[in-house]
Amino acid sequence: LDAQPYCELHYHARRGSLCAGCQKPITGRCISAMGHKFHPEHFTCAFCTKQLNKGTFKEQNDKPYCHPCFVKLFG
Amino acid sequence: MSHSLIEGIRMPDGHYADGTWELRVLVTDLEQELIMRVTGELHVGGLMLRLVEKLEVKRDWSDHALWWDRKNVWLLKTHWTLDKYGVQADAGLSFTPQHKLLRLQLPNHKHVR
Repeated sequence: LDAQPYCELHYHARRGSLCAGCQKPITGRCISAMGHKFHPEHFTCAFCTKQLNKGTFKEQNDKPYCHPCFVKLFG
Repeated sequence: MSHSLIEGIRMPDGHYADGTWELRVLVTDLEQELIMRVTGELHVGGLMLRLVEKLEVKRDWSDHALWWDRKNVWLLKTHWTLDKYGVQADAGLSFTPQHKLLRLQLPNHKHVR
C-alpha cells in the first residue's frame, strides 16, 4: 500500500479486510454486512450462533439474527 | 405523562418508583442467578434477549426457554408480556434447555438413552 511495506495484519487492517468476528485477515470468501466484513463462518446469529447467509438475516442493535431467533426475541 | 408525577419518589430499596421490579432468573447451564430489572410490559423474548446480552456467553441458546418453577409452565409464547403470563417479582424463573436427557425403561426392563 502506498509503496510502503506492511505486515499481513496491518495490511488487511488498512484495507478494511479484517473479519469483524475474529479480527483476522479475510483471504477467501468474504461477507460484507452491517458495515463490516466477515469470514462466512464468523457471520453468525447472535442467539443460536448458527451461520447466517447474507440477505436472510435480521439486524437489531448492530447484532445479526437468523429469522427464527429474530421472531422469537423480537416478534 | 403521569411519569413526571412519580419522578423522584424512591422505593425502600433506593430505586425510583418507575414501574420496574426485579426478577430472579436462574441460568441452569451456568448455575448462575441473574437479577433482571423489568416491567410487566416486557415481552418474554425481550427478557431472553436481555439475559443473553447480560451473560455475554456466545453459544447456541436456541433450545433455551424460560421455565416458571412454581407454576410448572414454559413461557414459550415469546410475544406475550410478563403481565399476560402473570409473572411478578416473586416468580423465580429458570433459563434452561427444553430438551433434556431421559432414561426410559422399556417393557423388557431394558433402559434406553
